[in-house]
Amino acid sequence: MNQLRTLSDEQLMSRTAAGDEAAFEQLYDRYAAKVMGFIYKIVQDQGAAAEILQELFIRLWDRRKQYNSSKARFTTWMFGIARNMAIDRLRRMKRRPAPVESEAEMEQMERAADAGQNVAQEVSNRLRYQQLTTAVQALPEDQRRVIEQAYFGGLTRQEIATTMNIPLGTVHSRARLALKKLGQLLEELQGEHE
Amino acid sequence: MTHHQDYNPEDGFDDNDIRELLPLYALGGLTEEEARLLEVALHRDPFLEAELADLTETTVLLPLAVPPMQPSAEMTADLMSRVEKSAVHRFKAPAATSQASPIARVEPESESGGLAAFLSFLFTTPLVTGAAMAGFVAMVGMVWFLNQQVSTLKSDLVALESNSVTAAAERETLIAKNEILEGQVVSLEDDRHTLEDQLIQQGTANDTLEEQLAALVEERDELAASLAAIESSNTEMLAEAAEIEERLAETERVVSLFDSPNSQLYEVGGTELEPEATGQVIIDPESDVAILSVSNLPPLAEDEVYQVLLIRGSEHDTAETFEVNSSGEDFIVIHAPFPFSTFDTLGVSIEPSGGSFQRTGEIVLLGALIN
Repeated sequence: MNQLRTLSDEQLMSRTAAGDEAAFEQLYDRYAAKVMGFIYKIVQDQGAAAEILQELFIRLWDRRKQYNSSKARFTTWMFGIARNMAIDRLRRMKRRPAPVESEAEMEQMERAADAGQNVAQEVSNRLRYQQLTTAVQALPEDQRRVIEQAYFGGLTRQEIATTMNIPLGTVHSRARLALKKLGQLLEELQGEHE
Repeated sequence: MTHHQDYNPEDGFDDNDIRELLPLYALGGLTEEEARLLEVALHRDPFLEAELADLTETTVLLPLAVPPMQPSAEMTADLMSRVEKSAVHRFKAPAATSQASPIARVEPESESGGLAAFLSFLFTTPLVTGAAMAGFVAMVGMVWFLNQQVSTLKSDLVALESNSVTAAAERETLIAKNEILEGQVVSLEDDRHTLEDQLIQQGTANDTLEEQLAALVEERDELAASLAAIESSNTEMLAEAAEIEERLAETERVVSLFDSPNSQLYEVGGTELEPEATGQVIIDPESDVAILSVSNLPPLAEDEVYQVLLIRGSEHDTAETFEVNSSGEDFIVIHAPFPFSTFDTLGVSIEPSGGSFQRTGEIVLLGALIN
């Protein structure tokens, strides 16, 4: 298993496709907590999040041969499937996500840290998480809300316009500005830590 | 298309639309239909694909901006158990035929050792020899029967193992076939996506053609309307030309009246009703056209007109009606039903608006047409 830890996601997925359960378990250990947090962020229900997580990894296992590393990174593929499943559940549950920066989430981070795999990995995760939350929090409120509603809330642009009572063109411009600014902030933050 | 406020996906997207919508596509904020149309457009433009890739670099990080949450150990164990079962089902080889069954491994070697000891006990103990003989015979029969049963069971087991091997081989074959079929399904799904894309593109092209056709039909209708307006105008112009021609002909006849050596001028005087009124008439006895000039006639009420009278003896015909200007004057071309040589007197009477077939009002001008 120690040797597996040094492999990239895509290499682990390649082994998984060949039937290597240990490689798959390594991917699970690497991402289960992150994906569970992500799913919980969308559905806001721990039981539902656990169910979706389990179904997600069963689905990843069943579709392991369909993954093509030349088309997308493993995380992009996996989080994409996870988001679709969570948004589907959310639409059935008719619930909306909480803001990114809630105190409950910070506590959630602490609890997850206690169950971390190793110190180096945990430090790296924490640094990454801090960078991302700092960048998201640095966005203007109205831009952050558009991102929240679209990405974590699964709303379409028309629904966002209606919910926020703003013109459709404003939804477009806020989404564009938010992603642009987020990209710039992440570059700056990465530069500071490198 | 600059109307970025609201697109109609049925109209398709142009590059500006797509650039506006790319961030929301990257965030998953488009409807399925919008996303599909946008994907079609993206496949055609590598620059847009690159722009989307830049945006996706940011959006893929969003899940990591959420604090992780450790799943329970029970759930993890349950999941791994399910995966393991699936893996066993998919990857583990069937039981090998060389593996001996538990029954087969139980050879009667120890049993035969036990039986020998038992027999030795029976036949070396004098007290039980007589009774033992009968029991021995029964036991030998039972052992023989049991050996037969064991032999039958062994045969059945071998047959079962053989069947099991065959079934395992068949299952492997089916799994292999299933994998091939899954591959074909994936390939067919790809083909279906390609066909859907083509269909959408053809639909877009069809929409464009329909739009062009609608524009042509609209243009044709506009041209038809213009043509109808031109035809109407042409009809009016033809009528106007006919009128002008008629007026020209009349003018020529009036001019010819002045030029004719037979033309004569007669004075027409005011009656007792309008003693100040005067008039002059030029006639050609052979012509049915004459010119009358009047003066000092008072303007009439709105529902009255002056009307020319052509008199012969006790009979008369009514001719043109006219009004005078503020000076009491007018110039009238008279068209008679017969040549003027047939009339002996010309008069003017006051008639209701529109004129009368026979005189009804008072005569205000009267003059003889005979020298």
